[in-house]
Amino acid sequence: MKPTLCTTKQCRGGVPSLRCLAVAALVFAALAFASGAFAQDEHGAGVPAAEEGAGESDAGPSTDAEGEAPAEPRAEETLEAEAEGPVDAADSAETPEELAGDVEPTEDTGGDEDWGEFDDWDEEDGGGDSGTKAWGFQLGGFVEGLIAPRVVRSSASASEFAAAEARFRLNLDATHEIASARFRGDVYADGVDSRVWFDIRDASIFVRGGNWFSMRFGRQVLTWGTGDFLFLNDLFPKDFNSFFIGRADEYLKAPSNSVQTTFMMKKVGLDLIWTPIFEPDRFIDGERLSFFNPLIGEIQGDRSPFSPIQPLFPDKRLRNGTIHGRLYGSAGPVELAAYGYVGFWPQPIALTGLPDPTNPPQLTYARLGVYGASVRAPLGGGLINVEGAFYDSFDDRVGTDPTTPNSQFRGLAGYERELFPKFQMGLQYYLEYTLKYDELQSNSLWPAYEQHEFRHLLTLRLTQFLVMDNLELSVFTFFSPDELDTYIRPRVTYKVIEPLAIVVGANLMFGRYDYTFFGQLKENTNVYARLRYSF
Amino acid sequence: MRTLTKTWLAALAAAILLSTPTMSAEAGDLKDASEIVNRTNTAQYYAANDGRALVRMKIVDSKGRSQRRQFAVLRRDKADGGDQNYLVVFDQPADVRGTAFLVKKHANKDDDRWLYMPGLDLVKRIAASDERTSFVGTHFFYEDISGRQPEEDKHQLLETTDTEYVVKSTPKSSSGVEFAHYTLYVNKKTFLPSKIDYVNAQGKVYRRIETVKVDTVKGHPTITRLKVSDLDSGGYTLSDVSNVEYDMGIPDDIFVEGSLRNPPQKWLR
Repeated sequence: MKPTLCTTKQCRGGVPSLRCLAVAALVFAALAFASGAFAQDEHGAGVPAAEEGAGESDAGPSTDAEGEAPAEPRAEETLEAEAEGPVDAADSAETPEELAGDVEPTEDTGGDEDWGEFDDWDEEDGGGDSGTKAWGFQLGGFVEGLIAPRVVRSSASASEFAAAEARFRLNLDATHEIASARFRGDVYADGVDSRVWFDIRDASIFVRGGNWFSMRFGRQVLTWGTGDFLFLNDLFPKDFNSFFIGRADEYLKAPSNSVQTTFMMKKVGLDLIWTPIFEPDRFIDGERLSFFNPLIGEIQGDRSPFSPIQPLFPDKRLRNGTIHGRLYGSAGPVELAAYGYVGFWPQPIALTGLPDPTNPPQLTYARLGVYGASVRAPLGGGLINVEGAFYDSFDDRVGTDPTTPNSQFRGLAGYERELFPKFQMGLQYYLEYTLKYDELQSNSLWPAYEQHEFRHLLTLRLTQFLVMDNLELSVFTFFSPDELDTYIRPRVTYKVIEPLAIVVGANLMFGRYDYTFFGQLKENTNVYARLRYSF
Repeated sequence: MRTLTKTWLAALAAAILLSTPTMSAEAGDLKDASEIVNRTNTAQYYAANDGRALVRMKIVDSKGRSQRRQFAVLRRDKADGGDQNYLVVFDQPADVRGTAFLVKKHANKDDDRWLYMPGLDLVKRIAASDERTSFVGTHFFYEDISGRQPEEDKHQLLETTDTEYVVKSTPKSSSGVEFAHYTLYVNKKTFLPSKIDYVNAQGKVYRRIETVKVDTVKGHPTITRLKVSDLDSGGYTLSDVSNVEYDMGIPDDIFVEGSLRNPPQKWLR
């Protein structure tokens, strides 16, 4: 196994500058951290517990696979230590009767060991009680193992696992009254492709200018919109590989190197986000997960010589950057927002040219503008949300070019509420309406595989919390009545003891046809187990 | 993370620590139970016009296993006994660090609440929920943290001792509550509760909230240590409040979405 360091899958596609940017950002964050620590010493505020961590930060993210190994035994040690905890607690636990007597409210019942524990809580954990210190520091993260065997026979994919990985996450934060620096970095050993990946999810600086202006620049994860696992006006990069293989929900969102500015005026806010170098989705490219490739007319997995798909990226010029905007405010309990986006379709669904045996076309990203709005408000003890977006496919507004996607209208209506104590339900209806459909059909290279003029999708989320919120049962289901495909995400999350959580779930994809949105993924159906130790 | 869906009430925990002083004049004992309960509500949940606190909770289950919660709270009142804004930023446990809640508490309708999940950078609005279910996995209920509307119960003054009023409160509607009634022990000087016993239909006390420590901060008597016990299972939660400050001049415009993503350190520290 030859370790390869890479910030994203796209590295292999020939985008080395991403790596450079990430490393630069990391160094920047580390410097910010170090200077923060220095400032703190100047203030004579003593050495916080987190400062040792700040030192490690320089080495931590840049270590290779070996960084993984020491982390695991450490998790076990701490686990044992935790396991001893309950015994002590039981010994010292007061019975309710002991406290039943009248407690004089102005006196401290100081003899209680349980309460004494609060006194040194801060020192142990670095805490949020930073008092008068100029800078606050925090160090955290987790160690996680994930295994996701495929459970259906696949002729397209050779690997028996959708995921088999060990991950180490490091979180570093330095906060000041008007500025802060943040780092979130993952190193993971991936058993499916026998590589070690290095993925910086956040390395950014935040600056506040009074109550009306703020700015965050650097690598960051961005999200907006009202949908639940459905994104209409959120054109920030997604990672669909992670979504279908049992990684934590947060990995559905991929980072981008961006500048975010926020203006606040009374009850109205304006966010403007500029991503100088277009950051596409981490799409399903056939290598880890198989998908239906209309060019070859079949499901394409890692056995295919065409995998992974290597699309043509837009030139790295400033005019190829993307801009995202949101204007938002509220009228009483009703939240309103308007959105705008100028950039590219986030997935490579365009072709560089018509199929030609001597000069086969490449997949690429077509230009796109998106304009939309959303409303969210309480209704009948629950919440209702409505969102719409117009996808303006600049390069094929007339809809006759088979190499470029047509414009679309996308709409969403959702409702969620608590049906019984600790039992929540969320329902969504989602629509994609493809414009100029007749033109699309009559010019399409594969009319049989085109999605319907109206694609309908229903989702249902059910969540139940049990055992003092330590056990969560949930299922999220997508179902398309016109494409006749479905995707079911059952999941059980159990917090065994405080730092340790186990998650067991499945990604079940079904479909009558091979070429529909979820139907094409059916051979990737998997079950998974994930164990996370947080620190 | 969804475990914390209701964590917003933590904000309200702040309220617990922020108690009021105003009624310390000893103008004779009160006779009206509703008046006592109203003053208790104000004393416990509406001290000063704004406040900040660091809340730490230790949850011990029936098997002796313990967990921690730690969060900072900012609060600003619109009117005593009326609407309030809360911002709650979680620090522990580690897997929810950076999770934040924004709560706009309304006296006469459902609260507006938002939850921020830092991993996804997602601001999620949260639907109204049952007030008598566990608050972020502790033995506290949301209602213990945010306060129960005095008008929801009928109040009867059982006893007046040298130091306390003892009030029996019976819900006007039994839907959504698990108790038959509860008994409130109120300090006559501070109007803070020293103990609340919840009684079930069989007449048994099955749940108890006790004030363990009160400190006076800027003239406001403030409950700084509180214990809630599930007497059936033997589990309990301890709540410790520190770093309390009142009347800081926290502006209303920090109770916005942007403060979930980037908490206002100026007021939190």
